[in-house]
Amino acid sequence: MCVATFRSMTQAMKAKNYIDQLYISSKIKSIDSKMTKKGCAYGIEFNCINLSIITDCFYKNKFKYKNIFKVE
Amino acid sequence: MIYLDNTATTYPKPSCVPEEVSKCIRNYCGNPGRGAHVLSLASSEVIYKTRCLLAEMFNCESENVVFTYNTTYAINLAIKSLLIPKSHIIISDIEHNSVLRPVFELSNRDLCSFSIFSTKGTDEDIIHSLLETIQDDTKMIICTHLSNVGCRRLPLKQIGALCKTKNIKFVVDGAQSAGVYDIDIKEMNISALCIPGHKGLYGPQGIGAILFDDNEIVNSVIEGGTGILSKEINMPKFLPEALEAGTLSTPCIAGLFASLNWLKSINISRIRQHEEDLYMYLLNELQKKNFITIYKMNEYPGNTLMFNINGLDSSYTATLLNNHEICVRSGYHCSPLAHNILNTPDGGAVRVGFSVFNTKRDVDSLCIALDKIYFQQKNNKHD
Repeated sequence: MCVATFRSMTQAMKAKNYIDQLYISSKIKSIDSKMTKKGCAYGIEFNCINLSIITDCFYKNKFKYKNIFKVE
Repeated sequence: MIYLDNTATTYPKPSCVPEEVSKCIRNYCGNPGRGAHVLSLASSEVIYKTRCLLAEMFNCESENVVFTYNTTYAINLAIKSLLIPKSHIIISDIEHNSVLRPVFELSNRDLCSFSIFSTKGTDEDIIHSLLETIQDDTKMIICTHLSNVGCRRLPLKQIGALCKTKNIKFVVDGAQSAGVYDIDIKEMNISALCIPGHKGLYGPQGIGAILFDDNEIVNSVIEGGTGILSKEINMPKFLPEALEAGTLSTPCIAGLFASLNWLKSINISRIRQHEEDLYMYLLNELQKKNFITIYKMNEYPGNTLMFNINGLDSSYTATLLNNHEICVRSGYHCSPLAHNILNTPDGGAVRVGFSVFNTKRDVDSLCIALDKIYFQQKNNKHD
């Protein structure tokens, strides 16, 4: 699975809204403390198969994410 | 009971509002933005959807919607977060105390100076007055869209255009117009629009919002927990979290979510027409009574009308109307500047404000009650 991280819950909600419009399943989750230096943060988990579709969508909408990483 | 104090708070609310507030408290009121468990996410979701509805209604980005308790908090936050210390601020001569008092206080603390522009005459006269008031160090203009004691609507588009050319922040008090008259943040070049949830948007009390035109870094005013960047000692520098320290009122926002969806299904132009029709009907009826003095800022219709029974204090008239089970507001309505312009007497005036739920029958009942009060007082004097 892949996780895209965002600077706030509001941004994570907005990202989920974009992903929902692509009919791709995703869920919001708290980011593991090992991944965040500055404390609490939120991300969206989705199947990595959809990675390029989702990043394209973010790019087209000029929507910024902080990072995307793969998880087990 | 006939409720005609809708300028202060609309009542009743559409039934979907108390239903959604109750549903929220019973079923999904976790702490929003403070975790990813199912109840926290459910709260976060209704809040985000409400941001989206407001953003769509007033034309801004959803993350630029900042929730507050009410319009007064919204105006205070907007002014203080956008303030450039030692700069000059301009307000209009019909501002509510929610604008006048914070600006006066900032001025008292030597954080700004301020001037007042005249709203007399035509829209062109207003722009002329504003141009004469602008100084080299003017950094902010704050004005109401619609007065809470009359029908004076300020020309936001022209004022916004002026602000854009002069690089001045434009803060708008939309307390009386949001949900009744169209407001477009981008088209009107508004930097920050301050609105209540409990008036023309028909939501519950306890929720308001600021809608910013962009997400540029603003100064925080209240500091505290935001659910993000918790190890940082500084507040986040982006909206909405920079101005939303502490837990938001999810039940109130849920109620607003319901009312905004209800408004969307109706179309606010129909509400506006209905309220203006009632205003004209009442105005016409009151003009027939020689014992009534009407206070008007202009000839345009609106949804708020002020008057007095000649010789009676407004609070006494309101008390007597209450005995007839009619709710109106008396006094100065927290708008001493506007009352000065209208030359209301000591004690202010009686204010009637309409909502979509009022009818011509309500106006008829008010007029009958006013007749009864007047003749009863007249007879008491003779006795």
